[in-house]
Amino acid sequence: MIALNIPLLAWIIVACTMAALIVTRLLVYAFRKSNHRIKFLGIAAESEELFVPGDRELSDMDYSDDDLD
Amino acid sequence: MMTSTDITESSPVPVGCLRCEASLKEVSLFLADYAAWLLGSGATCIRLERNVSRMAEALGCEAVMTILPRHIHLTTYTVGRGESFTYITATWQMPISFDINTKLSSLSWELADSRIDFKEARRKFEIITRTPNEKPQTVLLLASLANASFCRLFGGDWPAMAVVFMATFAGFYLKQLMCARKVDIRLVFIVCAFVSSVLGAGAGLFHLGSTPEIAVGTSVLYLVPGIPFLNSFSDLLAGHYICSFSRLTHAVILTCCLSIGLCAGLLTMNLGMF
Repeated sequence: MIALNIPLLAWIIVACTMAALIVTRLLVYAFRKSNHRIKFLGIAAESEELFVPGDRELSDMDYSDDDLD
Repeated sequence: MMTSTDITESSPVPVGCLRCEASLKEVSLFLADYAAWLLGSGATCIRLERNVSRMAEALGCEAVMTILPRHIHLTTYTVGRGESFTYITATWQMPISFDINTKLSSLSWELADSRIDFKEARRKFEIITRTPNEKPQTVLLLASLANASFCRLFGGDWPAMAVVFMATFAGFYLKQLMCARKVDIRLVFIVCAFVSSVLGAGAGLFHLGSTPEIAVGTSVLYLVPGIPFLNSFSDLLAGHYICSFSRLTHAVILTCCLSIGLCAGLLTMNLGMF
């Protein structure tokens, strides 16, 4: 049975907690400073989700529905 | 803030050697604000008394104060005691700032030496009270270096200094965070002392250097309330016993909280105190 080294465990907990706190605060500060906003959720066109080589580019498409003729 | 006037501020006070005029009320309010800021920035009572008396004399009146730990009662009266004005103000609860302390003292000398008039003094006072604090990151770094230097002064070796630097960095950063969130200062001291002592005990835990006990002892020095202790003894010598005992009580309470955190850290790390 492994004897529990309480001092080592306490030191690791305190050190990791403080390190996590400092790193988190630095990341939040860096993120707020930057102007780039990362959008995690959004709705995209179907062609952006499923692209097969040979499909027309988005810029070539128009919405006149001439293919339905 | 409560005010009471014996006689209203009807007539302006001739302001001695200055060329501008101001009412007794204006002078009193200015001196009361000045006193509140000076006491809040960490000045002793004797300095407060001297500065306010000097400025009152320069403005052509006299001032008497009752200095309490959280309030100041200020009475100003004209020469011959024809008119008087009493004002009670609360002191500002703010971090000790020797920068503001020095600037306010310089302001009192400028007014006393007639280099500025009352209007200019008020303008400068407004500027001084808007002095920005030092950057927290700068204070954090310098406090950590200072504590590591203390470790060296007490005979610590370089590994102990590095451990003290990191322990102080972590503890002081936590102190800044908790104080910004208005956590009770006593709880802040307990938690920060615990964190710093546990991290400082890493020198002994990982067998870093030959002076781990010095690293543990000096890792919490940044929390010692030196200025309240010094100010309390200064006030004691000047005869301001109420402020002296108030400051001494506050310093003792903070020291007890520091000790509780340190003892908790030592017990957790299985370290003896003697």
